[in-house]
Amino acid sequence: MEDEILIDNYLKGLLTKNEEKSFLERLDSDTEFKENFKLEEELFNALDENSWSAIEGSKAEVEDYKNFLQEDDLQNLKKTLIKTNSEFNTKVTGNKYHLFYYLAAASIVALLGFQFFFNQMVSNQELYNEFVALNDLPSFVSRSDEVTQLTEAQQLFEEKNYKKALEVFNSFKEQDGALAIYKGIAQAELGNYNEAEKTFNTLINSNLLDAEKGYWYKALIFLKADRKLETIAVLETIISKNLYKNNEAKILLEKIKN
Amino acid sequence: MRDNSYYLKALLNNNTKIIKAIYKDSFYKVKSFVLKNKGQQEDAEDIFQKALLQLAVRYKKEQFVINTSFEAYLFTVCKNLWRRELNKSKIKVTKDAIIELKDDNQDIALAVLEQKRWELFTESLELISENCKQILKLYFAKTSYAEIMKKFSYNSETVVRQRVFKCKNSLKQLVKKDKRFKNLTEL
Repeated sequence: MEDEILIDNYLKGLLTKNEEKSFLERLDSDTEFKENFKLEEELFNALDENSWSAIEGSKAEVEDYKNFLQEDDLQNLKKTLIKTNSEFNTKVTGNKYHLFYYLAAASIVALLGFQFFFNQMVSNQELYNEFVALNDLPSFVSRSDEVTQLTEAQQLFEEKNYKKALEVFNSFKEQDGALAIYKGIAQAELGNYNEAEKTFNTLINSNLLDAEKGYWYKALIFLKADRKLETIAVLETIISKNLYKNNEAKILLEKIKN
Repeated sequence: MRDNSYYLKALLNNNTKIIKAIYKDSFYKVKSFVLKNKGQQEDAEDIFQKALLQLAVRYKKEQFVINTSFEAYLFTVCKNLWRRELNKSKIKVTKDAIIELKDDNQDIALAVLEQKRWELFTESLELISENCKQILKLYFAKTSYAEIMKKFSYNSETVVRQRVFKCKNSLKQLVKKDKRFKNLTEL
């Protein structure tokens, strides 16, 4: 018991200078005590969320891992990771800022007299921009049918010419998941939130494989429209039913509630 | 659910398509965690890359098995790497001149062992009695004996302390009995 209290007090920094000195001397001379202390210390640091138990000494296994890391397959993986990371992260950031400035400018014009709402508005817009991830939308380029018209519409969409893009999307009558998503986002970008909502409701009620994606985009357009309660309700449905993007939904929900 | 080795193999085979999918599925969650815990975008990117390398090198050496979903496991590894980083910089600030910057591979290699040791400890913690587990979780979270006493309606702090020591001993016994322990302890 004595030793345990001593170690406990040492780890919590409760020993006096003198007690600490004799504690450290004992560590040097008493192997069994040191062994016991080491494990206590490792547990104390590893199992505390705010701390970490680091390995400082050199161990044979460390060299093994280092040698493996030098081999071609892992060196190539490293290169791929660097490349993937920079593609993945610059793409998102670039687009985010572009859209952000555009939307911030639009918001200023629209809300000039409503300073009070402004902050909330911008931050919801920011969240929308972060989560809508326009670059991740499916591309029409690889499809064989209607290639010209749909790829053209996609191009218009990417250039933010939502009005023209929407005209093309509207001219297609058949049900298609990707088409519905593009259409709904374009409607929302043009401020036609009610139409966008209808588009996504139709998608949700369809038999398409992409039907459940409708919830995610519906949540996002509510967010963009600053309709917080409705956003939360849809996100909660996504999470409870484990639908498309349920992990993102959890993160977004947390951010909105904060 | 897919067999989790699917992702580990994809890392070793340098499968760009699957690696991209891993970024898409997991990066934002990690980023959000790092940003909430005193980190920046670059920290999140760095941690994420190191975590994937850690998984790859560990799988290459010992073909380990992930018992949860790949996504959940990757997140835990990232979380631990970030804890590691935060505590490292604490040391760096105080002992500035003494700590030399270790190279990346050394860092990843050490992190694998530390992660394995953390897994041994947390898994062992799950094996002791429920009451002990709850008490120790509070103890390791640096909850005072007085608070633990209140929570569990013990009569005195001495009783709590005895209970903590008893529980800690069962935990230590379990850890020491585990065949992984020998390779992970430092002496």
